[in-house]
Amino acid sequence: MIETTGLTKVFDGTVAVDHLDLSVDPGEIVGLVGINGAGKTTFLRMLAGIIQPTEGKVVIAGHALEGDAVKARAELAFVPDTPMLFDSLTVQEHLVFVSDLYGVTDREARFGALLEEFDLGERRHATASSLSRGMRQKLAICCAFLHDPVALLLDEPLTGLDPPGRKRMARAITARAASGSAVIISSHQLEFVEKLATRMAIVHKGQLRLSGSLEQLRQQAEHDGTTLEDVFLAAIGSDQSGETS
Amino acid sequence: MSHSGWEGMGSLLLLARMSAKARARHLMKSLRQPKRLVLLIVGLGMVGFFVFAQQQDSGGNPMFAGDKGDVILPLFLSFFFISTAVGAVANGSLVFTPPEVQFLFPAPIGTRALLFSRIGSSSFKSGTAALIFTLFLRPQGAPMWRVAVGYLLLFETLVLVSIAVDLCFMGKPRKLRRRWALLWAAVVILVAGVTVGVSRAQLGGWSADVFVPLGIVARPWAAVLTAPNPGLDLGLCAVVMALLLWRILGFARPIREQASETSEFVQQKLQRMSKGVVIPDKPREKTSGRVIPSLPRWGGAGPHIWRQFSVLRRKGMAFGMLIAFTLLMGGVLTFVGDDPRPQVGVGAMLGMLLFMGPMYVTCDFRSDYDNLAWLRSLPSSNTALAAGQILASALVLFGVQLMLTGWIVFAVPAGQRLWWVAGFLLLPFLNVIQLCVENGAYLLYPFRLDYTRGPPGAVEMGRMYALMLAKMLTLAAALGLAALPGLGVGWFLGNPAAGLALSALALVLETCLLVTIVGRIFRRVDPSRDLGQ
Repeated sequence: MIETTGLTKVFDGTVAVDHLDLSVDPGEIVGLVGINGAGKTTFLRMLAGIIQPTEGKVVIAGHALEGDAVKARAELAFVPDTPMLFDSLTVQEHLVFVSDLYGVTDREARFGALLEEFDLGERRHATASSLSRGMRQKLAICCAFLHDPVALLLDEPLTGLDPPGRKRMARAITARAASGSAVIISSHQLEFVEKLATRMAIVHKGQLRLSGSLEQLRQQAEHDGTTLEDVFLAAIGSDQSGETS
Repeated sequence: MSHSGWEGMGSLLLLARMSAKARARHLMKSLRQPKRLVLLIVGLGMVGFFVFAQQQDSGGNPMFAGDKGDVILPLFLSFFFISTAVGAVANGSLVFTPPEVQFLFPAPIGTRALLFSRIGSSSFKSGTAALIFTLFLRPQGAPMWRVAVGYLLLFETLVLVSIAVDLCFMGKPRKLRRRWALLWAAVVILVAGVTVGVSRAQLGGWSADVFVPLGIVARPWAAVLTAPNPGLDLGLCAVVMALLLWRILGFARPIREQASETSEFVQQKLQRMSKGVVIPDKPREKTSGRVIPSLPRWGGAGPHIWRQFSVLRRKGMAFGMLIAFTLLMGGVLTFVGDDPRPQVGVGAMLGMLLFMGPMYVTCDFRSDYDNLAWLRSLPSSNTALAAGQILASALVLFGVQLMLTGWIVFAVPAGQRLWWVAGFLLLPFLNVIQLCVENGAYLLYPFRLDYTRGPPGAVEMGRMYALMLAKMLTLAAALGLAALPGLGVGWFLGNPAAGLALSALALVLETCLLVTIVGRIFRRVDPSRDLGQ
């Protein structure tokens, strides 16, 4: 569903992502964790087609992002850490724009369900510029979920969300995965990742350090820590542990 | 414990020194990019050309020539004084950058020191403005160095006036300040109107002399710029500036709350301008809920055109100003110009809409600075996306052109009608070609005029000149290349209609090619590197 082979990005001689191979199957939720500057966001942006890889290949639902870009992008949705919205468009107009672009047919029913799911119904006619940080995040997520993407890429999806919003978000992601989407979540909220993800991928210095369930990570890291945080700190080495606090 | 108000001045001076160093470092670093270096050379070349031209021609700007210059220059400067004062009442002028508000406002820094640092930071901008004005608006016969000093004095005084006015209204709610500003503006308009009315009644026509009393407020500064021996006027300017400075530094009440509010308000405005929009509309918060009907998908272009139209109906200030300027210019040329025929006015309006329109109507990549990264993840081909973005602006522009000038087809004699119709048929292509150059340049050189850092420099000026040149060259090349095969075939077959059809086809193909090129450029942009996104 999502497959990367040897994905690499070099910025002015600095290797941000270094030959990263990752495969995510339908229904799987992969939690991407790493310290600041590990290359998580660059990796997700390459998957979303926003930045071009220096080397390597991305395949989304059988379509190569390089050769069959429009079809590949039609199957994915990306929610960045800072929501990108059009300030002068209303909540409803964002949904109309996205549904027209992705060819969503039963849009009115979907709008209603999504706005209710993310508690945005009352703000339907408000412009994006008038929304709070959390509401903007919710709207970006509504836009991403609208066309039932096969591949869902979420970069720090909890930023700005209140506790009920986080709970809704966790429920929504699990539901999308259950319906067959392949999901990648990048987050520093290790408890959230541990709870939600079916598989974790620890990225360090642009490379995939460890990948698997929490139990598999423990074995790979040769560490008997109880939480993802313990295993993560062991995997990246003690010299870096201060950066994650 | 007594406070002098100058506490923390040493720290502010250190900050100013470090900021200046950082600015210089930033400039030097940015010049490592070849495109910036080229633009700097173009910008400096143009400035050098103007300086050289000014030295060759001692005439200066003809607008301020002869007797009428004695009236127009003080009037012109008075306009600056009045608009500065009205602006200071309405919006405030004590503007600090977000880091300054964050670090300096809670720190043990005295009010006088803060005000002094604000005046100091404005002086840098005054210097740049004085240089630009000296180059373009030098009164005839006046030496350059004295004009530069005169403009510097003028802009420094304007800074002091705006701060003094803002301090006078310190603590007043924004609504009340706006009301005062409107009142001031209304009084000025009323006085000007009465003056003109009296002039017409008493003199039976126009006389510029009646405006002399209106220009009296700026007369000393005008005299520094023009008078052969401006010693007394120079002294008068210095006294006024000293009085203003004394008033400002003697201000005892707290300024931080109001200043932070003004800073936030102005920073938001500057940020909107920095994104490349000519007139920074504030987005509306509430809407009627009505949504304009969707367009067909057209490979992904339709939703983008729809989106741009939806945005435009809430952000029409730039659009409205373009229409107002055009109507004003067309009206003046049509009814009071030397050759008062509608064709002259309409021709001028079309010229302005053709060359200035693409700068004002920005329903394309230029209004999507924050969302370029998102646009790249959407399922539209590069060409469809570029077409959607550019067509939105082109359609709006063509609509304005038709609305304001289309009536000329019915007003001209029958013999001229066909030429005008042909001209109107050509317009959409000319619009798209220019918009392609504007958007291509925006995407290739995606740096903005960062008003929050300071006034535009030589690099930005170079960019403006290079863009204007590129637009003219592309238009000329496109029209020339389209005309050549048509002329050849028309001559060879002896059939002008066939030649015209071939030229039209060539123009369509060229336009499509340019849109495709813009699409490719968009795909090439790296938002993480070029835009910091």
